[in-house]
Amino acid sequence: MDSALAICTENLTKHYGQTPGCRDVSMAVPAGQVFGFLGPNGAGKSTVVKVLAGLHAPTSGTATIFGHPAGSPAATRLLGFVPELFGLPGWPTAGELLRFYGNLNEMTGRELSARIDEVIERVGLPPSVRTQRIGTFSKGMRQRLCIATALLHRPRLLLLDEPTSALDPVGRREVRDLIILLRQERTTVLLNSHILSDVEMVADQVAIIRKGQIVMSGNPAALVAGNLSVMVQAEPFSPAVERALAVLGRVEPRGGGRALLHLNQPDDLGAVAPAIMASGSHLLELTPQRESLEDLFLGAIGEVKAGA
Amino acid sequence: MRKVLLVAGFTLREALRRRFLLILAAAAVVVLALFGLVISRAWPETLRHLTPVQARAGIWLGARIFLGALNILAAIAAIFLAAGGIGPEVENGSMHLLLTRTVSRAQVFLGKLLATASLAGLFSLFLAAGVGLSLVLAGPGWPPGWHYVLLIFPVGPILLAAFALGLSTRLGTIGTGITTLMLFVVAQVGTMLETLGNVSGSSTLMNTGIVISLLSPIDAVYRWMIYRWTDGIGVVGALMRSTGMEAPAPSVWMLVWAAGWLVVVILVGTRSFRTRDL
Repeated sequence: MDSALAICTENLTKHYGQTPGCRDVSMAVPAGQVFGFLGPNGAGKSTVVKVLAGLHAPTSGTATIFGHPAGSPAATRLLGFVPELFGLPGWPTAGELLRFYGNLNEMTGRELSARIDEVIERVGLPPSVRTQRIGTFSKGMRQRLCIATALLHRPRLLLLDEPTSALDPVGRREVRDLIILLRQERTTVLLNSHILSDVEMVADQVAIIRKGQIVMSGNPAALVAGNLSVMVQAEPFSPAVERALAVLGRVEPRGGGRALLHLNQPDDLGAVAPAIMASGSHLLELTPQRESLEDLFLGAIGEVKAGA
Repeated sequence: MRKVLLVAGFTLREALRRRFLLILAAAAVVVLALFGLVISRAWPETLRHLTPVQARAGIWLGARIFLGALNILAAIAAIFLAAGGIGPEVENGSMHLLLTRTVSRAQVFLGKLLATASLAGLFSLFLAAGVGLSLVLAGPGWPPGWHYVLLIFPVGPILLAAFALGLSTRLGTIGTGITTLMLFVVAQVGTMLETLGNVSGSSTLMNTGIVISLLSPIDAVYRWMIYRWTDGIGVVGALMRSTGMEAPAPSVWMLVWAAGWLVVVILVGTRSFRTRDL
């Protein structure tokens, strides 16, 4: 019954009363990949993740985990989940909490004990936390412990909802390294994060969601490569120049006779200089710019990076 | 069943570390000690003025009034224990971590129910046993028929705990607490109407009271317990009821009804939790 697709959704739609959570989300994540899930606040990322984790029931459409319906015992057995809000109880020690979760995942005895030591080490916590009350942990330590609980039963799919929000740069790097290591072990990771540079560094595929719908998806390098921007400076930067450039792409005026032009097609690069000169202006600068995932993201959600 | 017990064990350990439970236990010990002290002073005094049978009747009457106060304390404890059972854990995300284990929502609900109902029941049993023990230590002795109290006194708080936990699958702690407290108050209103109906001979009042008691059988179960206990006291029980200012004794079927009510509350609570988006 297991599918080669770790995650498969078809026209997944979730409404909360009259409020839409996500609409017609269709995506396929092959096993063993790191999938970056991006979108602004309230775009519907957490809704999709919660449906996949079996915490929300879809209004329509389907969602499967390795071919098993999301929320079914077979699907839940295969996934680990790090929620955005990781309200760990404060009274037990990390060891007690991990033992409890391990027992619920049908792990016992020495196997569980060894695995607890292993995941504690893996998330960069000192061994002493095993006997330390969670109530005394810092926010970063709690987040690491939360990741440890998700890894405990060796899940084949890890759903990470903002897993580095409470971590310092060192901690973020360690989590990135952990994700890369998990990919090497053929664990699929769905990474829902606002930190685009993290996603860009580790994701094999990304999807950008806006107002509940996926507006762009694919390999981040290919997506970025498929987009070319050029910084142009013309004298004078007349309305005629702006009109001519608008035919070739989206124009972001930057002042001082300069504008950033996001080309519709990278092949249009050769047409930029003739268009400016045909408008009766002199071309002073034409510099191709490498777009980042952040540029791509801001373009996809319809926002322009201020001051760039 | 193993996972239900695992969740129950974890919930129980969590509850036992809460300061609230310590305060509650300390308050119960103080109240019971005060009761024992009062009875130990009152018992020789009443014996000086009354026959032993009359003196005991007075003490049993006092115990009954005190038990009524403890019934309120046990109800409040049950509500406190169960009202925050599920809602806050959904809000802070810990329920998300729990439910992405291989454990069903029904198992989590039943585990939490087992823990909170056990605590509510044990606390009530402690109160009832404490009253009995105080009477033994203070002089009048173990009240006849007190086994009915030990058996039935914890039932009301268990019913309340189950109702509160079921409600906490949809409401926050305060909403659940207030609504469950209202259920307890409504049960008292049912008893009041039945009493007024009995005294005035009004079948309308009586029937309204019975309907309310069926909807919220908590106080009816308590009344059944009181009647069974006072029956056990014999002459003294008859003496206590001679005023006629009582609601009629509930039938034993009220206990069966309460058991059915509990099953329905558990089923509805489980279903509510299973179908909720978390």
